[in-house]
Amino acid sequence: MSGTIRLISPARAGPIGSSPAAPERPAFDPGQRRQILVSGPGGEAVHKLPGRLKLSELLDRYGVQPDRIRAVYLGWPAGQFFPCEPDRELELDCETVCLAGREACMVDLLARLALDMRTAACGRCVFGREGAYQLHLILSDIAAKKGRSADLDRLTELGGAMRTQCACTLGQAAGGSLLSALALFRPEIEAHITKKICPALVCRPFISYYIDPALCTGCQACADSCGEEAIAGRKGFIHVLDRTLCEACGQCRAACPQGAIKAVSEGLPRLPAKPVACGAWR
Amino acid sequence: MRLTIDGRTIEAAEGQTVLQAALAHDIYIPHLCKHPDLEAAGGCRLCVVQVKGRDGVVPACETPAEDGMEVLTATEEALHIRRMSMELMLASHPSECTDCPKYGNCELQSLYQYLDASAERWRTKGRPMPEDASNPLIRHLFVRCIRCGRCVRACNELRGVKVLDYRRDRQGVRIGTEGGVSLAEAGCRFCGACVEVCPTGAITDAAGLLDPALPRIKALVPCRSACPGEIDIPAYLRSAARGDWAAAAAVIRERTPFPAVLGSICPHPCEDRCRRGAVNEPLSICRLKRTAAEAGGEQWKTRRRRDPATGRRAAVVGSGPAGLTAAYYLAMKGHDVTVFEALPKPGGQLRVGIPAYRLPDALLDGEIAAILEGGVALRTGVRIERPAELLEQGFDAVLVAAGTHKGTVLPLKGRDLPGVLVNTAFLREARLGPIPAVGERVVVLGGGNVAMDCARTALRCGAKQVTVACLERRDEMTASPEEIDEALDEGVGLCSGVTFLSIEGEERVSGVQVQEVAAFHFDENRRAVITPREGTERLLPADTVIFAVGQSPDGAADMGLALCRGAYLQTGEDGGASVPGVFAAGDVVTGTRSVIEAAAAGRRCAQSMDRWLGGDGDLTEPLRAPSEPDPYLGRTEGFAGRKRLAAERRPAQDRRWDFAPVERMPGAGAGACEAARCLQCDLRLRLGRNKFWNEYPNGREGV
Repeated sequence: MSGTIRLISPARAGPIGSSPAAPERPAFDPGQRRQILVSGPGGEAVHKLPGRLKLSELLDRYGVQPDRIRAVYLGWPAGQFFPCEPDRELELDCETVCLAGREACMVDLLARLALDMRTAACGRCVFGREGAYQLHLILSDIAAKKGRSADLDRLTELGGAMRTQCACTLGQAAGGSLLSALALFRPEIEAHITKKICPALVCRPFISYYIDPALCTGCQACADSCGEEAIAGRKGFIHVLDRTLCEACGQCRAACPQGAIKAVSEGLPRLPAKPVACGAWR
Repeated sequence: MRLTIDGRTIEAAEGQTVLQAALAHDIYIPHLCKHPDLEAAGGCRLCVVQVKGRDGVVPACETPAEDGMEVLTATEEALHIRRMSMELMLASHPSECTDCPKYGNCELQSLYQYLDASAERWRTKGRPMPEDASNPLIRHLFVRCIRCGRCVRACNELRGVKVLDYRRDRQGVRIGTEGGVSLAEAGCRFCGACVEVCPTGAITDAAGLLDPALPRIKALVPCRSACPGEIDIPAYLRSAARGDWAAAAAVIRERTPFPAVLGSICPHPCEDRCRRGAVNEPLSICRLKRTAAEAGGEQWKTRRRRDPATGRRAAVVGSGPAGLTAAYYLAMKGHDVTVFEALPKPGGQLRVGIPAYRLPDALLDGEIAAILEGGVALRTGVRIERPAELLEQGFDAVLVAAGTHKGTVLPLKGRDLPGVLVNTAFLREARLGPIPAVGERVVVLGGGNVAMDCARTALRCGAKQVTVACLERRDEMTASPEEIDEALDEGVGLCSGVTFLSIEGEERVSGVQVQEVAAFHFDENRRAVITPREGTERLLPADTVIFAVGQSPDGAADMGLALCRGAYLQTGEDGGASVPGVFAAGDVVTGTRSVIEAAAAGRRCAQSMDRWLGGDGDLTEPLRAPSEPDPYLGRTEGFAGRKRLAAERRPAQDRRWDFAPVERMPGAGAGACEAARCLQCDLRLRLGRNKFWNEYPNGREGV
């Protein structure tokens, strides 16, 4: 399940139809406590936070254990990703914070951040507007298994240009966000493009579901839940999933009382070709 | 201050940006979102340059020039950023150029060629948006919009109209009106500044709007180019809207000495072409001339041009609009001018052709007096039979502007019966007196404006029943719709689409035999070829029949000058007739046309005559202090919906009995309101443009 990630607070982006102008960068006073929208595995909530605090304190206030978080993102104007180091002192020069959970895929997260950048852009400058548009298109493509080998270079080039050439701090922060993400998560992004795998098993086109023949009890719950009729089986038979029909929606996984539905991004085990009686598969 | 750009030292003015300083010295730096009339936005980043001693590249349009600054326009980083920006713009722009209205004249197209940029490194995906051709005058093709914001800045900062702005939708940011309402609803002034500044084909003039036969400058201000007198219509409307009627009158008088006359009776081709007509209704351009003439006073006289006397003498034969206009300008040029008029009063057709209820004597007298004040001698009651003889009497040039005072009588049986009248004589008598006697039932033959004048005059002479009979169907009649309506309102009957067979009667007229027409056309000799409808003959009973089927010059054939088309004087390009020193202009040359055409012809001929008399032919007469129009229009709520000032006419049942003016002309207050409806199409011509790279010496050298 993916949480929200935002460059700026949704209040600033304004409703559809308004004429947004680039926001003024607010003066940062570390001594002043401010309202910050924190999102993470447990949902989204506004916290009143001091300008500086340890990451561990932030996690504490949000109510999540450090081992459940892989990275922290500070939104505009800071626009930066950090690895989850509990002792790190954070300067909260931002209006939004995103705590990326252990299970998060950074490509998926960045694609959603890029969509937010695209909708938040005031539209006045080419790098802010078209840059965010390209970021979103490229990252969405990578998440859709349509990444191209040159994409990492394009992203790096674009992030650098946006950081220096955007007319306002919003676009500059978007560029900076991307550069810091690339520095931290490059191998994970690259895996999507070159190895065609999503290590976090989040991006659907990369995921193959299968039914573990050792765990399946033939209860038929998975087959009932499948909207694509991709699962075959009878009561008491080990069910079989047809990956040519599977949309990787994950409904069956949620439905299975045995935890027999498993996902992989590469390397499927040996599986029965058609349903066989439970216990008959070796 | 001095700065160097690519090693070249240039002088920059205080407050100039690096881009402005460079362009002023013909040094090209690519730029797109910057427009000469708009504030810099720094959005396109095509003008990025390296400034020595500073990190990175900066947009030249937002970097103030400083003394001692060293600027490099083509560093590797600058070229990289520039090209990348162009690539990003192209990535969401339609790739097909040839079907774009701006093809070949597009700044984006020119710049991507200059930068040798293409979008292929990026994801090429457009943001679809349908064409919007629902607005008058302006077409939106926002799929071609690159969001440079020039239209937004023009609409908001330059014009203050505040209609176009950046709007957010699900696809991101685009340009539009608030809530996506129509331009009219949003308060658009239709000034066209957005069209003018748009670098691409995103905002264009509506398809088919501009006359392709005209140069742009004329096509964009169609009222002015439609006026035969070339009166600067937007300029006087602008002055009028400010309430500065003196300036408005001066603008008109710079082109003609007849503002009040034209304001009363001009057929106003300008209004037919007025672009506001596409928004709701055209401006009341014509009537505001009359208001200007009356409310503008005589201030123009203080600036009146009066050249030193040349000692040359010019004679003008005929005191109609052509003759008097020429006389006015010849006198202005210092020539000694005498106008000869056969009738007892000056004015030509203005005096004896147009009824007093449309053009009162007092008004005409006022304008003629102002012309005579300029040093024109008038001799009325003198008919000049042979104009060339005036050359022997000491005149150095002669203008024949004798008009068309002979009414046409069709060769019908019974045309000589008592009670058969002809337009010219009838209207002349009505004007000069005594009022002609007409019977109770009058039939006017003809479907033009003169026929309407005859019909309405006949009513005022005591006729009880007046019928206009004409060959054309109602919708084909040459009379203007207003004049037909006014006549019908006064009770004139219409019998259209008939051919005249004969005039019946024994001792005097008893009626006109007519027959319905199935079809008709004019052959190559301009003769009507008529197909009558069998069995539809009938008699229109009448005591008086008035021919109003045309008129021609009276006596031109005996003037000793060459003719053309049978009855008209032959002239060369410069208005010269067949005898050197004799010129001709107006209806006597062209046949019956409008007053403004005759006056314009008189002015043109005065130019030729001035040259003939040794002058330079320059008739410009600045009658107002030079002023720049205010480009800031501001918001006017409901601008597009503001109705045209309706003509105020006396009720038909009151006015049909007398020759007092039919129409009450707008006063200064109402007139100013009407003038403020003007779209000021000419403002757009004052906007600058970004020169293309190949117009700069270093631009042609390439990247």
